[in-house]
Amino acid sequence: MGYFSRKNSKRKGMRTATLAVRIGRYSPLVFTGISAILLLSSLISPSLWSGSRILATDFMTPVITYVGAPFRVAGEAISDMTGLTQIRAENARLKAESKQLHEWYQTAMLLRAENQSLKDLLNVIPEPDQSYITTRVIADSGSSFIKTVLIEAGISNGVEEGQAVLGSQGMIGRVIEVGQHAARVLLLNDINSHIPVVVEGANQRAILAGTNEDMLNLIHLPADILVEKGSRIVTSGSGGLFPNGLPIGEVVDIKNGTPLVKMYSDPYGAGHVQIVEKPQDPNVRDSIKLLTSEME
Amino acid sequence: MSDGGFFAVHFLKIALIYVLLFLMVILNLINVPFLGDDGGRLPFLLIGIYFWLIFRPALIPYPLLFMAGLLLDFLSGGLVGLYALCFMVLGIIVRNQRRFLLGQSWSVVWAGFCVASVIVTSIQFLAYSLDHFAFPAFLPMFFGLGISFLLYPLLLPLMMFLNRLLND
Repeated sequence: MGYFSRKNSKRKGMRTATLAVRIGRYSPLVFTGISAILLLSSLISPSLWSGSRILATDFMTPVITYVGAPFRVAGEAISDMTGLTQIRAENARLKAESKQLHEWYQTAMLLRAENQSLKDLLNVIPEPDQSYITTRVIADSGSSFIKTVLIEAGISNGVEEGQAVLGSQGMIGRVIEVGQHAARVLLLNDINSHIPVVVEGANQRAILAGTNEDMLNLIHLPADILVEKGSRIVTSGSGGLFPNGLPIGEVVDIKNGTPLVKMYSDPYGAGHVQIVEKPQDPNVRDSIKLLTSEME
Repeated sequence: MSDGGFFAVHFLKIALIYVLLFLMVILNLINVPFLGDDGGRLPFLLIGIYFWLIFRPALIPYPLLFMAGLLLDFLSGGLVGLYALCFMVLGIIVRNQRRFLLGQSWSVVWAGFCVASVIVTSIQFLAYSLDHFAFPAFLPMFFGLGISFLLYPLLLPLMMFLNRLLND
């Protein structure tokens, strides 16, 4: 009995070893096959893996933050050094601009007061309050085929899917995936980005489409609408996803009838970004405040 | 040195290679501001994998290649399985050619890396063309390839040093 059981276990061991050798021999094909299946599933349904992606990103966020810190500092130092020569010229320009802005400020204050009194007369429903979450960019996609960045704020900081993300001068993208401590932002210049906008001046609605390059295309414009170079492009607020009036960029060229838009903010130059919290009805905000104060 | 000490030191050396590869995954995702926004990415991981596949293939088994690719896929936010597929294809090709590459000068190995970069970029280009139903922009792609070619000789001394460290 003991002899047979020993022989049996020996056979089993041999079989396992042979299987391991076989798997080892075919592993390149097996893993290539698995990769191809994963890729196919991702092509068919891009959101299929978003849960796993967010889990991995959340888990790796602290590592990315610490490993990337010296590179961010070095990058900032290098850009500071290259900018030293331009500082003097920029200082003079800023002084002149400051003087001009001071005059504009006075005008703006007058207009604000006038606007408020007119609104009071017409009994206009006030626009919902806007608030922002400021955070750091910790990584990007690492590929020239996708234009996304990773930010160091997630659900725990109040970030939600679909929120608009601003750089220093204007909107640069929107949140597409949110984890507990990190979120992924789809930049406006990504080929998959399409957002509703308004051409200021012409007051014409259109769609701003990414091209994976610096310039963005303004599409779905009526043929009879004339868009001029220098026209400002702002969010339209259609669909309620973004607030209206967020500056994006301006028309710099018109190629084959399609206006090309340059963003005000360099999406990759942004070390810090602001996330625009979704507009909330003031009454709902007051109720939440009341509830939280009661709970305290 | 005792047997235990020898194994401990050797284990640490191998661990160093894996730590370096892990760091390369992360560094692949770090934006380098002075390279501009058009494809200025540094393909650290591709260089690491290519080098170790030639000089220490036993350290980079296929499951590890697959896992590294999959991790990069998840972290980059791109198509899941794409980097994994690229690294598997790269692994199969380099392992088949390593006997030839081992006996060549560093410039030939560098040329081999350039070919590997072109293959990986072509696979990505095809996949994203299918994904977008349009050809992605060519300029950022060529710029990225150029950076990738130039980065290899810069990282080579560090890799050679680590390889010599493993031999000692």
